[in-house]
Parts: sequence; C-alpha cells; structure tokens
Amino acid sequence: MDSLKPENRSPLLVVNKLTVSFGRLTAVSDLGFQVHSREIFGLIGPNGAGKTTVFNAITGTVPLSGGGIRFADMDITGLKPHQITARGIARSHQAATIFPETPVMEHVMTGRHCRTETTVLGAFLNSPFCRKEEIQGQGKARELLALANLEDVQEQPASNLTWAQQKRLMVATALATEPKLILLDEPVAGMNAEEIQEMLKLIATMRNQGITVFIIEHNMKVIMQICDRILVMNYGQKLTEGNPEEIARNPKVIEAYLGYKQK
Amino acid sequence: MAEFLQYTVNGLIAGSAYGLLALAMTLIYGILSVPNFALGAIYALGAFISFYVIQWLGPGYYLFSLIPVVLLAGILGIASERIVFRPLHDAPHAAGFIGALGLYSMMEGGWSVWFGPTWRSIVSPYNEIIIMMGSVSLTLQRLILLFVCLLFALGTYFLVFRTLTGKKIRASSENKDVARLLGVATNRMTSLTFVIGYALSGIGGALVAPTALVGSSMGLTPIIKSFIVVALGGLGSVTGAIVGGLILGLGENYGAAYISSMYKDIFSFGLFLMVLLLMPQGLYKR
Amino acid sequence: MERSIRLLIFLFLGLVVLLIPLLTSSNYWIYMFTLVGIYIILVASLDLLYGYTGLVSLGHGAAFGIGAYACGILQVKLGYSFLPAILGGTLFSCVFSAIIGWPMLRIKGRPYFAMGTLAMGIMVTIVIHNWDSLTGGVSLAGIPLPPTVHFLGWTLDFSSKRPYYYLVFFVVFLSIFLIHRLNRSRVGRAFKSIRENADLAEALGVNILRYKLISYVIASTMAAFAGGLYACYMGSIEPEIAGGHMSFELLVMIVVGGARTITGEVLGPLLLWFLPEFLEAAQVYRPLFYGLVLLIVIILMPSGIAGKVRSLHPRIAKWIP
Repeated sequence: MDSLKPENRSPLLVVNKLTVSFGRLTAVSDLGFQVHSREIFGLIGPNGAGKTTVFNAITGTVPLSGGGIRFADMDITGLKPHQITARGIARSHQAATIFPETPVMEHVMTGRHCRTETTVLGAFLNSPFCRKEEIQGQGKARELLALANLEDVQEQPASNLTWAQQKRLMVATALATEPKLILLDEPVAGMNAEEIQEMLKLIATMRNQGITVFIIEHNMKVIMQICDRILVMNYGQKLTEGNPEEIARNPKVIEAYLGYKQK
Repeated sequence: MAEFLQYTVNGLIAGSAYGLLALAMTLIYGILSVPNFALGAIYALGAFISFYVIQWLGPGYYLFSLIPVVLLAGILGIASERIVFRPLHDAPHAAGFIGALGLYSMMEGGWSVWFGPTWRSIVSPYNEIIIMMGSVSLTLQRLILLFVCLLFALGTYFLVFRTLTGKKIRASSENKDVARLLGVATNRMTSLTFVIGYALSGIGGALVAPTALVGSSMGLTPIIKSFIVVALGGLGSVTGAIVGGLILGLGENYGAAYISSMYKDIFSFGLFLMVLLLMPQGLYKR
Repeated sequence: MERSIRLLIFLFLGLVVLLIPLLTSSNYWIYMFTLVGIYIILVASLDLLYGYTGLVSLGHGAAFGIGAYACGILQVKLGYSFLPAILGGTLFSCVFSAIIGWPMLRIKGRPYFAMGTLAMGIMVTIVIHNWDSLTGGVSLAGIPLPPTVHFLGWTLDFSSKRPYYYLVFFVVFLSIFLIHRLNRSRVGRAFKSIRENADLAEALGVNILRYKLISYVIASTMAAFAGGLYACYMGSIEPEIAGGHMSFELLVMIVVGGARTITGEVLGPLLLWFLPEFLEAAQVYRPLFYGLVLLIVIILMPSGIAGKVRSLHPRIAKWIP
C-alpha cells in the first residue's frame, strides 16, 4: 500500500490536543492525530461524535478552545478561513453549500479566487494579465467540470442540479482552489450506487494528482474500500486509530456504533 | 446638583418613551428577525389619533384617545403581518427589512397626505399642570408619560415572562419549527406579538405628542434610536430594551446639557457607531 | 451571438441618448433627462453594493451628498475650478467611505450595516446643516457650471443645457461599462459569492471584509462623482440630498428596476422619476408612492421588473442585460 512507503509518510496535517467547546458544551476534547501526505485518511464515529467540528476547527470556521493545528509545517491555529484556504486546505460540506443562483461554470471559477490576483484596476481596464487569468481559469474550470461529470449542466444555476450533482459541484469548486489537502464531509451521503461510483472516481483522480484526502463518512463500505488509515471518534474524543482491517475488528469500535458489547 | 436631578428626570422620561418603542421593536425582532421600521409610522399615528380625538371631543378626552390608538394600531399590526411580513418571512436577502422600509415610507407618506406637511402641537390638559418635586419641575403630562410607559413596560415584561402566552411567544421566537411541533400556534403568536408591538408604539407616540410637535415624520428619529437601544441591549431582549431606553434617554439629556444641545441627536448615533467600532462581534445575545 | 445582441442594444441605446436633446428644443426635457442620468449613475453604483454584494445600504445618499458638498465647497469657498473640485470631492468621499466603511462592515449580523449607514446618513445631514460656516447651512448656493471648453475645434459652452446632458450621459455610459466589466471579473465573482453564500465564499478563499469594503468604496466613490455633477448642474444644494429619504428612493429604484441587471439600473430611475411627473402628483405623495411601489415589488416580484421579464423565458433573458 502506498501509505507504507517511507517517502509518503511525512505528516501534512498535525492536530495536537484539539479542544473545541461551545459554552459548556464540549464538542471535541483533547484530540490528537496526523494525516500523512498523499494518503486517504478516514474519520468515522457515531452521530454527534464531533467529526464535523474537527473539520470546522481545521478550516478556521470555529475557534479552538485548546490545542493547535499545524499544516505543512506551519502553525495555522487561529487563522481565518480564507487564509487557510490560501495555504492549501479546501473543504466540501455535509449539506449542499452552494451559490444557488450562480451557473455551474462560474461556480467553479469562483473557486479560483485565491489562486488569481486580478485587482479592481485590472478588471476595469481588462488588462492582458486579467484576460490571461480569465482564460486560464476557464480552462482549469472546464477540466474540473469534465472530471466531475458536470459539463452538461455548466450553464445551469447551481440550485437546479440534483443532490448528487450538487455534491460533485462542491467538490469541483473546492478543487479549483488547488488544495494540497481536501476535507470531504460525507461526500456520498444520500447517493445511489451509481452516483457513489462517480464520486469515488473523482476521489481516485484527486489521489492520483497528489492531493491528500481527509474524509468523514458513515458509509462503511466506502470507508473500508478507499481509506489507507482511519480515525474513530466518540463523544468528542479519539476512540482508536488504525488501518481498515484493524478498525473492522476492533471491539470498541463495534460497541460504539452498536451501543453494546459484542460477545 | 439641582440641575443634575432635573436632567436625570428629563432623561428618564425621554428614556421611557424610547424604552416603549424599543420594547415593541425587540418583541417583533425576537419573533421575526426583522427590525420593523414601520413601528415609527405607528408611533406617529398614535400621536395623530390623539390629536384628532382632542380636536373633535376636547382636551379632556386625551386619555380616552389611547383606546382608539390601541385599536387602530392593533388592526394595522395584524394587517401588516399578514400582508407584508408573512409572505416575506422565507424570502432571502433582507426582503423583510426592505418590506419594513417600504411599509414605513408608505404609512409616513399616507399620514403626510392626510395630516398635511406642517408640524402642529397638541393641547393636553396635563401640559399645563406643573409639579414640583424638590428642585425638579415637570409637567403632569410628562409624569404621566413616565408612569404609563413604565406601566406598560412592566406589563409586557409580566406577559412575556410570567404567562403561558408569553412562554409561547418566546418559544416561537427561539425556534418556530420546534414550537410548532410542541403545539404552539406560531402564526397566532406572531400576530399577537405584532398587535402588542404596534399598540405599544402607538401609545408611545400618543404619550409623547403633547410634549413635542406632531408631524408625519416624527417617528423617524425615535425608531432609529430605538433600534440602537435594541441593538445595544440585545436583539430580542425585553429587559435590554427597557433598560437601554432609559440609558439612552439619560445619556442624551446629559450630553445635551453638558456638551451641546445642537448635536443631541448625534449623541445616540455616534454612540451606536462607536459601539459598532469597538465591539464588532456584536453585542450580547438574547 | 449573445455578445453581438448586447452590442446592438448598447449602440441603439447610445443612439437614443445622443438624439434626445436634438429631438426636443424644450429645456425642460433636457433638464429632466440630465437629472435621470445622474440618478442612473447613483442607482448603478448602488446596484454594485446591494445587487451584487448583497449589502442593504441606506447611506448611498450620504456618499452622493458628501461628493456634492465637497465639490461645491471646493469651488465656492476655496475657489477651485470645476475639474479639480469634482475630482477632489470624489477623492475625499472615497477616503471617507474607506474610513467609515471598515468599522461598519466588520460587525456580524444582518441589520447592523443598514441601520449603521442610515444613522451615518442622518448624522451627515445634521453636520452639514449645522456647520454653516463651511456648508452654508440650509443651502449652499452659487456653485458655478464648468467653464467653457474648447476641444478639437468644438466649443462646449455649459451654460446651455445640451453639453451638460452629454457630459452626464458620457459618465453614465462609462459607469455602467466599468461596473459591467467589474462584475464579469474575479472581483465581481467575489462580490456575488458574498451575497449568495458568504460562508462558502470565505471557505473558497475570499476575504469577505476586504471585498465588502472594496464594493462599498467603489460604489460610494461613483456616487460622490455623481454628486459633483449634480452640484455643478443645480447651482445650489441642500443638506437633505445626503439624507435617508434620498437613500431610500435610490434603494426603491434598484429594487423596482431589478437588481443585478443593467436594464434595472436604467429602468428604475427612469420609471420612478418620470411616473410621478406624469401623474402630476404633488411632491407630498412621493413617499407614499415610493413605499407602495416598493412593497408591491418586493412581495410580488422581488427580482424587480427586469428580473421578472428575464425569468419569463431564457430567450428573452438574452435580450435584457
């Protein structure tokens, strides 16, 4: 397996003693783990375990109550979301988080924002630099749309898309930011078998392009199939960590999901 | 020292009028998440109704005029809730707020057509009677204003926090869907909140009218100030509205007395902008 | 195909605009259309802020008023001539809006920006009204027209109505063109993303505060320039032009016309300026009329007239920019 090769073992994301509290409610407590470069890292756990909160903490959407996060050997604790995206972490959401009125093509182009630099002046003057960036952006967007199988709907406003299409659109838009690490929050939730295959194809392509994938999922088949390593959470804390075989056999994991000890 | 007491009393009186309007606004904001600008026009309406009642029936009927004020304001409350705010509730992007602005403009324009552009004054019997409390003097009218405002403020507080209806209103404010699941008729609660809010605004206008001039745009500055009060006291907070109103009234009067009276209105706006500057995360939650 | 249709429409409208002063010898109509042109600049710039970035502003009148007064004061009190005065006034407003915009845009929470801009607008009118040594108090009069210009053999004598009309509409076309350019660029996409889903925009790397501020400053600067044009045209100005009523009317114009469309930016002022005139309604009916129209539109067709017409059929949408 790729992740065992030494040159791929470097930790890209290091989460250390992460604690997130909202008032008296502690969503995540003293969590520590690492995501290695170029791996597909899974995060599972029962509902309410704090998984999405971990994503929110990494992307800077919620403030940390304790601990720290390092990415590519830089401390990103306390940075604002747009700064973190610029550093190379992108994310797709659990619920359909889209720009409802924006046509699909433009939607993906919006993701290019942090990788382009045209200023107001450049836009006013339609400078050569501005035009070059637009053309480059359109090219990249078209690639991503092809990858995500959204070419047919590229002129449609995002709200017209089916649920599966919207989820692929979210991923395509996130990929437009050229991330080193992408956080996928339940990417195949609510999809049928065919749609799941489409999404898995997309994830495989990401992996081939060298993007590290950190995925939250409830679909066990998918998790076991694609992940190199898996982190299991319960009640805001780490339950255990390991490769898919280890996790599948772990009685504590089974207990957490089923709620009782297996004999 | 005597002057200070006078300013304090003046401030409390002005503050109680602000508090009443702020109370109306915070109740409606609580249940609708929209600052209902139209309340400013209802405030003016209250003053007009008083004016006409006195014109037709005589100054003795001043307190009586509060009854038609409450009735008309209540009807307008239900009407505006049904016609404007309910359809706009689920509309995106501040449509409700824009609707409130449109409603205010339409009503203010309406009063202006009906009432005329000139500012007039109301003759109230209570304006003539001056009461002395130590070195502080105030007209009976203003004492009544203070008294009635506090009465209604306490009454509303009692309603909201100590009755079942109030509990239903608070539930609808916090989470409409859950409230509905628990059997609360949220639409009715919204209508009720509107009736209460509009009635309070109308009464506020009617009470303030004899102490100031009456004109179609008399509600504009008060409604903005009441928004400031509500924002500072916590959007949706009943105590915050009442206390905030008093504080604003005091602050304005002290500012006018000790700094400059010309820029009195600027005080509250300036305070607002300064608070926005220093506390960008928003003021306190409900 | 789409592009040539749009170009055609632009040229046609350009022709119409060019011809209007020549078709009528009545100074009254030229005056009316010139004012409408100024309003179009104001509404188009407000559309940038409200329609694209999604910020409800009740302070656009204040930017207009500050621009007008700055231009007027620079000429009347400090003796500058037209060009430096209008540019200076615009620059002043630009800096002012940057300074005041930053704290107002930082607060989270929907109604704060709108109310903050309203409060600011009213404060501006009060200050203008009271600082009469600088602003002339109740009104500032004696603002001169631009001086006669000799240009490539032509003489533009602004004391007659026509040249100023052309000046204003030149600025109208320029503004709409620039705004249109902006909205098709990366910057425009950032604006739109803030309006449609600010959290997602931030997650995609958009610095929300910065782009809100950019939108606000550009819009205010354009409004200020329109203010300078207005001041020199009217000759005298009052503090009310910076107040809430003006800001409200501008908002009504863009909502009724249709946000995010050039058609709406033009139609709104055209309709709401001329309709009351046609109905020969007295000034006193204005707030009633504006309020009623706004209510009807926001409840029944929130995307405005242009938006509603566009939504009827995709082919129609191609013709309505």
